[in-house]
Amino acid sequence: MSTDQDVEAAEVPVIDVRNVRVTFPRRHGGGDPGGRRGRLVALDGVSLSVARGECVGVVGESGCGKSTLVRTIVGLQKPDSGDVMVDGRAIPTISDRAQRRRLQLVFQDPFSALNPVLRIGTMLGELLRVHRLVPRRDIRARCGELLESVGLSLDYLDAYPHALSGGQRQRVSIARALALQPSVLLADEVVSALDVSVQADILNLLIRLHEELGLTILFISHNLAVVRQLCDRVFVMNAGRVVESGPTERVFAEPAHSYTRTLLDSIPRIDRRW
Amino acid sequence: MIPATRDNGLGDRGPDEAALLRLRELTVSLPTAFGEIRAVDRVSLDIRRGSAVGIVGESGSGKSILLRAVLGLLPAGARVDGSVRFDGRELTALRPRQRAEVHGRHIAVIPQDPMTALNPVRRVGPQISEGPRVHHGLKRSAARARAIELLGEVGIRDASEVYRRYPHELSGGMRQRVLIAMALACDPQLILCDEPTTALDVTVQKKIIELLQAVCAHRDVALIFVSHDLAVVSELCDDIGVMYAGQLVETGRVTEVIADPRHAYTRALLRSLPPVDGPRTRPTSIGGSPPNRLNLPSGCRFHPRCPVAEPRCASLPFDLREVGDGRRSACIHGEAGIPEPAGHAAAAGRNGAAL
Repeated sequence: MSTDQDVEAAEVPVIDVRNVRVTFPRRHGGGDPGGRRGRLVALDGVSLSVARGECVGVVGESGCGKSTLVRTIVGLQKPDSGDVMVDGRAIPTISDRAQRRRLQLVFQDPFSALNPVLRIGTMLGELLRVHRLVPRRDIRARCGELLESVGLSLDYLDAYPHALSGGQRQRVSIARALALQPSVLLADEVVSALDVSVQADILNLLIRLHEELGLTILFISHNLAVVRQLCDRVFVMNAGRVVESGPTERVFAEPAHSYTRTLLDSIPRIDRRW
Repeated sequence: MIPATRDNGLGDRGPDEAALLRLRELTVSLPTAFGEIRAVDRVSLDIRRGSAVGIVGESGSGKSILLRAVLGLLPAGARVDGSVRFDGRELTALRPRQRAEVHGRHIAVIPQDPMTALNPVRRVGPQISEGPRVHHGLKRSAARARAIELLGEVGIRDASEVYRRYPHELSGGMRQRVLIAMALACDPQLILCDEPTTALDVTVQKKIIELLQAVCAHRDVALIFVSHDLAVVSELCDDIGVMYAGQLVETGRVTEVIADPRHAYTRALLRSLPPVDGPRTRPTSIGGSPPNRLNLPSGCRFHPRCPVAEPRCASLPFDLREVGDGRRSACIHGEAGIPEPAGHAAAAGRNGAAL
């Protein structure tokens, strides 16, 4: 997206997760299969890489480690072992503002993801100001551009989140992520809380950003049908491990792992005759 | 769902033995800061004993308010017009106390969010046995045995162990099973489900749908299943009603409505579902957003978003009518079937643009 990234060698993956293991202390009770005594193994030797400009999906059900993976990639969770590299460098630390900008998250619940007392324009403007991305006098204009890039009119600059629908809020969340010109957009179940018809709008927006801006996207979801519409490559996770990965079409047409088949069989189907 | 014939909207034909729940011209008006809105607008619908009916629509279409109107659990200030007749009794005429008696015994609810629907500071077992104790007068030990039996029926192993757990010790799927057990506890004739699987993973969702199918068939319970997901409804329900902006715009048997939708909105909703099989396609969005309920479009409320709208759609009055073989539609294309929009190749229309 931005010029400083274009000079980097294309071969360096934007995200390179190597053999990452994350465990949590377990309290009494909790019968999680696959766990070791005393520790719950959330990620068990996960490796995954995302090249620049790719749109990659991660699928799996609740508890398979998808969200722990996201937290590890953005540096909110320290791995027990293994490495996470972003743009060929170690994951940014909390204090490293310029580095942290490279990874931006969009969350599942559009109702809790936005500060309810900030107008949309104020919220976006604050990001641009703190990160010194545009001159002060251009901030409002840039906020307007951001909203337009996600298909919202300028009127929403002065709106509060409560006046927006779920789909509109998710658009604002995406605009907020784009404001910092990230190397990767990490989308964690961004359409799961939305109506099917609104899901299609948000997916189309992500596809457009991916194709027109070359945005790199890591898309986390439990719904394979949605991943299929968006992603070129997919990783299937189960119980903290990647059980299958490959081009989305291949994984759909000939799932190699029994768990992938279970996931595929679980999607409600309708007879499409129209 | 029996095809409600066109002019029986008075609800005065006496109890209909076949229909367990009969809604006639049900209208729910809600006050807002900017004026009154009709969240549910003259909905007429019959639910047969033991049948499963899906109510589908986008957020804000009025489907949840419709359920709450059946339950009499509307927000303060809501006004209900029309008739809700359950098993021959007019519910809207009952006092709250009498109504609670009907609901507790005969109508149960499975709520959307299994994370917040249980009392977090009570063990789950007593929460299940509370219904039988209050409504069937069971003693503590008998109610406990009943709850454990129910937990077994909804597929929970170690039922007596789970009986003593707190909600936070259970997974989302387990909690939803507990809520189903709770709904079954008083042997209801009708269960109202408000998007009970939306908060769940696809794998768990499938198991819960199979469970609901099994218990309803086994016990001959009728089900109203509210969802925005047509695919889920198609797996579970016999009949379907599609709601848009408070109105029921199409009804019929699920298989027929999905194979051959007779309302332009239903087809748009179907096309927005991501396909699992066949060629990979782009998401097909309906486009636009549902109308502002304070400022509704004239004529058909879907016409501003409709790809096959005609000029008369903006002026014709709403008319949900029979369009053959027990099906109802309010669309001008209801009888002939929905045409493809002009300049839109049939193949492209079917699958969206291929990737």
